[in-house]
Amino acid sequence: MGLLEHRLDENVLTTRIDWLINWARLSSIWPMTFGLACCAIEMMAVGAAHHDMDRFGAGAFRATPRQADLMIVAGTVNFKMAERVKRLYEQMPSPKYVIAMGACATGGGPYYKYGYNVVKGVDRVVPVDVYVAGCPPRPEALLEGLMKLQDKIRRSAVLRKPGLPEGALFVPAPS
Amino acid sequence: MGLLPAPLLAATLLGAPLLVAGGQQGNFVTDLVAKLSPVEIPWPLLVLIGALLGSGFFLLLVFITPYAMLAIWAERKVGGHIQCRIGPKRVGPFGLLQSIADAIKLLVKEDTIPAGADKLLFVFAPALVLASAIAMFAAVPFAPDVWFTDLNLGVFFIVAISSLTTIGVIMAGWSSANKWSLYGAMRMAASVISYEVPLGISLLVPVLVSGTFSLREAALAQEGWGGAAWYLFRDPFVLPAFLLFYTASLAETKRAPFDLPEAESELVAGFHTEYSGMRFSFFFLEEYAAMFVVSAIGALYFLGGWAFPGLTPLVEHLFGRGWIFNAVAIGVFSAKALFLVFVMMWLRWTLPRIRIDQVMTLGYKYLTPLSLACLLGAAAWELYVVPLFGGGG
Amino acid sequence: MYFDYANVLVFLAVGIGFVFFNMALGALVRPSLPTPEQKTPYECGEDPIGDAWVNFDIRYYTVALVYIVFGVEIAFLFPWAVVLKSAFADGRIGGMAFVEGVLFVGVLFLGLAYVWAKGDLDWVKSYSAKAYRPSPTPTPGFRAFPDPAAAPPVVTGPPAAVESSTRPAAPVGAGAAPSHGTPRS
Repeated sequence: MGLLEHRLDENVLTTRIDWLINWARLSSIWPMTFGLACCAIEMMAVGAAHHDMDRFGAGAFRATPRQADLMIVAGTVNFKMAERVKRLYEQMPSPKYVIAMGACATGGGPYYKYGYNVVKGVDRVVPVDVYVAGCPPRPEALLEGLMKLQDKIRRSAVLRKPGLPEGALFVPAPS
Repeated sequence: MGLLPAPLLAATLLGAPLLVAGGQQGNFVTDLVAKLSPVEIPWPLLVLIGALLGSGFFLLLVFITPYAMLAIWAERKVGGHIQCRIGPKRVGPFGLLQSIADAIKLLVKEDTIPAGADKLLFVFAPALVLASAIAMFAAVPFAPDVWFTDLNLGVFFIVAISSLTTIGVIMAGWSSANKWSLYGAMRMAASVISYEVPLGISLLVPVLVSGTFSLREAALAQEGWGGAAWYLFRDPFVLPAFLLFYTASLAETKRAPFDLPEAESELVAGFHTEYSGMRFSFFFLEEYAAMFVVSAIGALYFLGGWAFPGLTPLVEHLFGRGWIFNAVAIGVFSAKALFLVFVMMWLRWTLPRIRIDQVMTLGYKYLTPLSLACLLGAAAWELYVVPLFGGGG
Repeated sequence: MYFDYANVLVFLAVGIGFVFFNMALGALVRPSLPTPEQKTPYECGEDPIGDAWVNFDIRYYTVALVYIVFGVEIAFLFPWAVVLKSAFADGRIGGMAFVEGVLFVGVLFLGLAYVWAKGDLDWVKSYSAKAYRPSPTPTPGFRAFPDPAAAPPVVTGPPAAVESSTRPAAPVGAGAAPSHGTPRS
């Protein structure tokens, strides 16, 4: 834990600094190059020309978890892979975020009933920030998930003590 | 891309009144401090203040960091437009604040050190890499009177100190206790030392033509009303030497198509696989600083330095060689160097990465013999052909 | 002149100081939540196998050796290149200096040619292709495929149905194609 992190009371200085740090964090969410199944194809489409994820500063896909902020679990997580997903999540430096993309990663999806080898939702392995519905989700849906994640980061406390009312310093996204 | 030099030009024009002409001893910062100080400062202290201010304030804070941030933004914009995307646009106007957001985010990102790592080397490797990049800048003159040190070894010093980067990278790769890092570092060492040969030999051509190591004197020799004094147009051997130099410098700065040390598709992230947060950003900063330095050498030694046909001679004619001339010179020189940086980005997003055996083949079997031929040809031209036209140089 | 190099030293010091200053600044805010998993080296999500400090390919050593030759060559050529033109112009040296330069480069180019001819500049060395030679004594039961001794097959029109006692004639018609499993109706 940082020397000042979560130790200060709320005042105009800490809220401004928190705003700045949150702005930086939400403006440069670098995802990890990491795809598990067919949702990954849609994830690639988000990075490609038509739905350009780089517009939000989130287009710098990093190949190593050490430099990534966001893990987009794109696809079916089976038990063999769950161990690796967990390890990759652990190897990311905090603050780290997870988007569960698609029905399989959210809750097992079509494999819920008979998929003996499928984890029924990646949230049983790693904490998930945003769930994106769809099978697979459209690229627009993933972009909306990214914006939801940005809203979530925007509300988080950095220097301030946690547990303040949510949205204490909520700045809406520019339209 | 006209946007890229514009903020830099504005900054230099605003700061130009401060950068008054330097004297014989010390750099322009030393003279500035001596001129502004109300009390007499003893010489050694003045030297120290000048060096500290010059390196820390002017170079690092006023030049390198803003340049690198702009360059990273430009890289993403250029890449976006080449791929029919838009690139960053939501963070500030035109996405201009993107690099600032990245920097703050990396600053407050957790710092991980692997358990098996050699901690001392792991911590010092980014410092060594960045320090060598800043020291390389020390010998680059920005205008006739704006320079930090006028080393008599000039370009030789830059070539020598750029090897420190390699040592830092190998330290990083070795100390990470990671196989990807080690492979990346060894590839880096192999490709960099292979390409230092053609780089050095092709740099010898303008050294031979100008007869000096000093980049400043070489650039002064290329001034004139037209562009004919540029070394690029001097004889049939300098143009191929420039192309060889530029190709080799791509490998020296680990840029595509020679970016094998950090090839994502095979080596994860190469030597900085285990580096997170701020430590990783220093490698990034160094890469862009090194890109500028090699482009600056190219601009100063081949493309006429701060001379631009019709513009700089006109300014000199109207205002003399005062601070206005220096400010224009900084602008022209930066524009040339930044154009070469832009070509590097262009190449990166255009060309596929080549294999390690192709890298080695290109370096030793093509570039080295060609650069040797260029050197001997240029020597013969200078000695035996130039006197035929009555030119002494 | 000493000022110049003192300046460079300060530049190096500022560069190192910049790194540690930024790390200290970040330490005020940045989180630190290490776990044992996080400290393991990254190997694509797997548990690391063996030591990271592995034995290295000998080819990198060859590259380093070749580089030493040329690094020294460049170091010697730099002073030659600087003084050549001016010294020639004022008559301190004659054309001999140029010839000497050519000879020097020529000798080192011979070295490059030697290394080239020995194949040490090739990153991928096809040892297996060079080492393989067909044995002079024929191996019993071995037939190269395609057999070089055999005559090329002569193709004349559609093949007639082969009458054989061991194998039935090739079935003709689509309905006789072997079907795997029961076709769905």
